[in-house]
Amino acid sequence: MLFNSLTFLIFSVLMVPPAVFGPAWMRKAILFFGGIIFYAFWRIDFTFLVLFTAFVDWYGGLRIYHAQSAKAKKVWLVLSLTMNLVVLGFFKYFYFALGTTQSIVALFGGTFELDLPFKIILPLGISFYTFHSLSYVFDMYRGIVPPIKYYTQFITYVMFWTQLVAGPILRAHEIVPQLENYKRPTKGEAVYAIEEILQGFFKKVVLADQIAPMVDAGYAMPVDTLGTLDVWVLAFAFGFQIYFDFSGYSSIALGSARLMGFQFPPNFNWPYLATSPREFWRRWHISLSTWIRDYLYLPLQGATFNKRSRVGLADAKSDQPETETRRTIALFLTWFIMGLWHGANWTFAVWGIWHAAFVWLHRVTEPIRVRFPMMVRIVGGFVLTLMIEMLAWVFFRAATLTDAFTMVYRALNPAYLGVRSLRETAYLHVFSYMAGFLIVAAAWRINKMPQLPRPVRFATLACSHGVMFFFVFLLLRQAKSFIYFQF
Amino acid sequence: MSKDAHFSSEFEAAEMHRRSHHEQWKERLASFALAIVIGMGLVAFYNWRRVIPDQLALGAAVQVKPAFWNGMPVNGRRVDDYPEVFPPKRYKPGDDLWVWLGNSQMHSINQLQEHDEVAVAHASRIMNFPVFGLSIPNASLRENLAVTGWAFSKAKPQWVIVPVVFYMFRMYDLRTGFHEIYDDAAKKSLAATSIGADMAKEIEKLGSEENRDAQGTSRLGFSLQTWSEEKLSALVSSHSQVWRDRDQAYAAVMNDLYTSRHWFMGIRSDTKRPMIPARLEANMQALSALIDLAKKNGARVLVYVAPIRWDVEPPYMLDQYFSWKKDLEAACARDGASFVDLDRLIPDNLWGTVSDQVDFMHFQGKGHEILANRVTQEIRKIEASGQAE
Repeated sequence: MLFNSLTFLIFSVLMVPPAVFGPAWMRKAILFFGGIIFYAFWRIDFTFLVLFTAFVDWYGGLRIYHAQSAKAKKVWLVLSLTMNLVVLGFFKYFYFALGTTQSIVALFGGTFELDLPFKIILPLGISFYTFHSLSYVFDMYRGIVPPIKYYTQFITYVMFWTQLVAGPILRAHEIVPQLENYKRPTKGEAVYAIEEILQGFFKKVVLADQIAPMVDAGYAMPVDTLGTLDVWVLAFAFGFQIYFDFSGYSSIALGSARLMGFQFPPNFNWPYLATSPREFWRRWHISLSTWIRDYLYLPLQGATFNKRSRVGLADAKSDQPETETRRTIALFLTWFIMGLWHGANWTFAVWGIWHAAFVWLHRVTEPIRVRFPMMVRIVGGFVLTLMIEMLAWVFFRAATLTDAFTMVYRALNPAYLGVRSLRETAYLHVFSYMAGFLIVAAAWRINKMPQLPRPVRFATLACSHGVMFFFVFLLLRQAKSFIYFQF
Repeated sequence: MSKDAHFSSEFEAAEMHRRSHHEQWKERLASFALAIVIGMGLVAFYNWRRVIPDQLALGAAVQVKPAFWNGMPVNGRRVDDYPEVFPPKRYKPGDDLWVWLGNSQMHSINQLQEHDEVAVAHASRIMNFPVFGLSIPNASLRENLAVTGWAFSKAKPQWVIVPVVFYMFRMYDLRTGFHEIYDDAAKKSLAATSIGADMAKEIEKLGSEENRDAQGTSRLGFSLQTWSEEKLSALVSSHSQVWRDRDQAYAAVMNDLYTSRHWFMGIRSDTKRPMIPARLEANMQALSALIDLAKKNGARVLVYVAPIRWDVEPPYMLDQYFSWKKDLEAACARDGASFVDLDRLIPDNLWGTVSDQVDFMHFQGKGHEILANRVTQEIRKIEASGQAE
């Protein structure tokens, strides 16, 4: 089910009040069936796939918990992991692997054809729900979370509709205790939740969807006609589109959960204000960054975890000497995998490597950077990080790797400064978005100041939310799905 | 609080906590209630201040005029409407038929009078068979090519008349309506040329979701969601005029934003727009492909430089404009199309204004008659001389 739809609004109206005010059994039933219904609105048949994979992970988790030996634990972990990777690999990476194989065979002058009697459809949100349920199995293996006794409760966790198809990626310890010790939202939380949902709708249907046609048209231009400024404009335009799209989704998700009394960790924190590539990833898709850090990056670089920890490798301690080489290899490998997680295409892999390279560069240049005054480091870091992150989106959005490299080359080559392919309105739109973003960021910070008179805050909130409501009312339409749904 | 929860979210968490627990919830609720009142007030205002979409684009002085010949429509002015009107009723392969492409100049009249007709209506009357207008506002040559490809999949016109406007060569995008009207036959027709084949793929990708996801995840196709959205939307629309007419209100908002932008940036109808070389090149290639496509379908092509207003300086870089006309003539000669320059055809007194500014594109009813006479004469002359065979 898409959030930006009348269907979701009606669904929420039907589900939320009884979940909040009804007895415990009703809440459990609503949260259990609600997730299944939510997913079935996309495809009924694929709902069974989610139920199946979740069953294997839930059962595997129990067997790990009850296993008498370390070997038995490992067997169940491997079984569960294999099942998840096979399912994910088949649905998400089959065509990618096939295409890559064909390209390699073609390099040696051969041909390789494989006609499947069916078309593989990528299940909605498969990368997200796989990560939800895998984190539980990993945590069970590490013995840092208690087992979930009932399959229905596990399904409620994995298929909790506000985070089912595009995150945030929650761990069992972040949601299961809230299910068991339910607390109704306070009135303050409820009002804040509704504001958050409205802001999410505004970001999605007004900001992201309105810039989308310009981005689509720009990326449809032949890349060899684009000039330096064109590429930067398209990079920034898509950067804003994907930010508003995904953070809009996250705001609706978090607000919807909060409205029912569930607190999820935030997924975005003004990422384009980051002053380093590393900081950017602490502000962008935070739940994915922490997941990858805890279950991939830290283990790859040889970290171990605190046995008493309830939060996994967030309490990481390294019990073996860490070499810089291993750390660097772990960094690049993690980002390569993270890139492919986002999409089954080499463009995404390069996008991941791009980030790894700049995080690494930021790390190794620290001795040089510290010599500069703080203000230079902050302002320079902000500008450079913004440019690096925006240009990275070219790999994310371009149709092919060749297109992406051509665009980046043109963006960085002053010889193309005189070439222009976009109309003036494209430059104007992107400039407006950037200026608007900075103004809102500044206003948001000012509006938080306790010394600001309350009537000013009251009026600012009322007017801004009023304008948001107006535009959402006008532009709420069926269809346009969220970009992150494809991951 | 755990380290994990602290991860770059301390600030947000503190903010949430402050908002949730320490601030007066009644104050926030009152603020939100006021926001709804402000929002609904804006909705009501713009719903009342509705605009006619065509008027929004053309201004109050210029009006769209549907064309009829022998009681049947002989023009379409929106891509989505084409399948309803083209080919003309009772058309059979082999019947006389011309197709006249173009932009809003072809379907609108400045200071419209009661008996005024657009050029295709005059031309149909003169020729005594349908001279069919398939125009689109601000159409590029790439879009003209897409229209031509579609038209040849439905009928076999003997002539394709292509008015070219310098400004149209700044456009590049194909509008999504093509995705709706392009069936397999149209794709096959367009793909007869190399550029057309690429464009057919581009049109295929134009669907709002298909271009996002190669494997079809976000493509909803039929789902409970699409079914419920249709039902719910129909239900709400049937009970709420404000909801039903959101497009009207949105058009009014966009008009205000557009006007504000022009005011702020000092953009007027006579502001000179520079040519964008890459787009010029793409549209020139599209013109060649259009001529090639017509020839492959046994049709002839007349390319003419569309009339513009000359009593004030046109909004073009004139050196670019004159150079472009020369290139155009050379391209037509090379590709085997007839060419005529009609940019000064319409007398100064037959022009008007658009939104209180000089209108360089739309002339009065008499101008359409002059244009129709001249174009039909040109074609007769060409046919008589055997040119462009």
